[in-house]
Amino acid sequence: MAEYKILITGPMGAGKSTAISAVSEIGVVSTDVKNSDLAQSQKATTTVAMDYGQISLGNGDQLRIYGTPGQERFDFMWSILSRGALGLIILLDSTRPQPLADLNKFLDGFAPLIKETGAVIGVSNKPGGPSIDAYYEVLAARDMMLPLFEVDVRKKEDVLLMVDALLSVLEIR
Amino acid sequence: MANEEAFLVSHIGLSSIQETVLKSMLAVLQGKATARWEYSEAAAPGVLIVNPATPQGAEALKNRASTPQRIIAVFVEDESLVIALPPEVIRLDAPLRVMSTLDVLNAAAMRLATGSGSSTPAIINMPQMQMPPSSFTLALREIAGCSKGVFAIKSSAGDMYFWADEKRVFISAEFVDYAKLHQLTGLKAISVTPGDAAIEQAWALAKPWAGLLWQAGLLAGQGSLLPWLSGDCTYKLRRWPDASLLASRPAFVRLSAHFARSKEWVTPASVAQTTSAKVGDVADYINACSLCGYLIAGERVIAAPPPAAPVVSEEKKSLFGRIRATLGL
Repeated sequence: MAEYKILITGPMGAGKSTAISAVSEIGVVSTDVKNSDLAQSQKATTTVAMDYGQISLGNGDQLRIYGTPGQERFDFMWSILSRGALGLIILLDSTRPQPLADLNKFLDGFAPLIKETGAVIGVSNKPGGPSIDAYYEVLAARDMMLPLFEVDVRKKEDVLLMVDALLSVLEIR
Repeated sequence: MANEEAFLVSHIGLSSIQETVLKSMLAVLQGKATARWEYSEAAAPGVLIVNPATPQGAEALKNRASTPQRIIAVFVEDESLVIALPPEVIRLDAPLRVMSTLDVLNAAAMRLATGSGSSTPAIINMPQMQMPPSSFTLALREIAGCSKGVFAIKSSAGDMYFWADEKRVFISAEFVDYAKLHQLTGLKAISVTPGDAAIEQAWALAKPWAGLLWQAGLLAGQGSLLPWLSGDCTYKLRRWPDASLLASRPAFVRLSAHFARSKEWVTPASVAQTTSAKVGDVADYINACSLCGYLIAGERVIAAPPPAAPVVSEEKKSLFGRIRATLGL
């Protein structure tokens, strides 16, 4: 039995838990507690250790999907969760105060994993936020060419598209 | 005898005398070659001997990618006609001799027996659009190349307004069938003055123009590259197409991954070869990306080298396949 891992990260409220539940065949195992950081996000609860979902690949093999905690004070978990991951999905929320800075933060925080494997970026874009081109400019400034999509993580097809894009990127590395 | 089932051999462009010699040789070589060979008039035999000095032979050599499972042996009568043979073909020098023919048949039999077809991937020729593009395509291309201004395409079928600054478009209800739009003639991009009541009304209903450009681009070439694009050029994506656009065909996500490789420029043919995508899908994808402004053209390559196949371990290939199958991708 082999285990494989895909990591989903992003700031608080970006939809990591929702994205995992869209594709996981089990109910998402969460480590949510009451949100005490309402300045960062208005959501009632937030993940403090990780979210977990899984997909059976047959022969007992499992694809495990981990969601990182969104709050910065738990970012020590990032490197722990990164170990052995196939690749990374970064989710961003355009309604946050500085979504472009968020992108830079997660590209920095997961730089070793991205360099070793690959990443896909999903932006939950709402009116008033930066354009998708602005996110691409951040990537271009870093000489990075990653798949970046406007997504609604409540839609399974959007989450599947990110997984498909991630696999396609991993295939050619 | 390594294989009791006969392989088939045929030719295009040999003279009747050469054909007779070839048939005689096949009879002589029974029991000497590593496989049994029979002459066939079939259109797609195991080995096709091609004389590129004849128009039919040259055409068959050019279109060899259409039947990649077939082995091509090029009959070389005139050295000057064959400056550089494609790597996947086998050379058969004139005049036909027993030993050189035996070598060719044995080499071909080995490839056919292992199911490898050609020893290197077949070279794919990207189809190029022979007809001029529709006036609709040309008008869209002109507008998409502008970064400022308001434009209109007007016809008896309805009106279309474009805001280049915001990359948005208004399409009147009649303008829903892009295939029909490609059939209309005389469509032109007209610069219009903002502030007109009709334009203001249209602005309220405008949508991002990428969807229109993408769909129009997919239909513009009908599986062939538009005239301003070349199969001999290298390309790279400036950015990935939007999610909703990629959903239009299953192959597009993989094509994007190949065209988006940050350090490398690739030719359409090499991507078609590496991904096994339909050549028509690759052409349509490039046309659509070009209209949307997602594509950067690089250098023209005279002789495309075989693509650098991505190094993916068998284990990973199998794993990604299983993940895709499980998720229904």
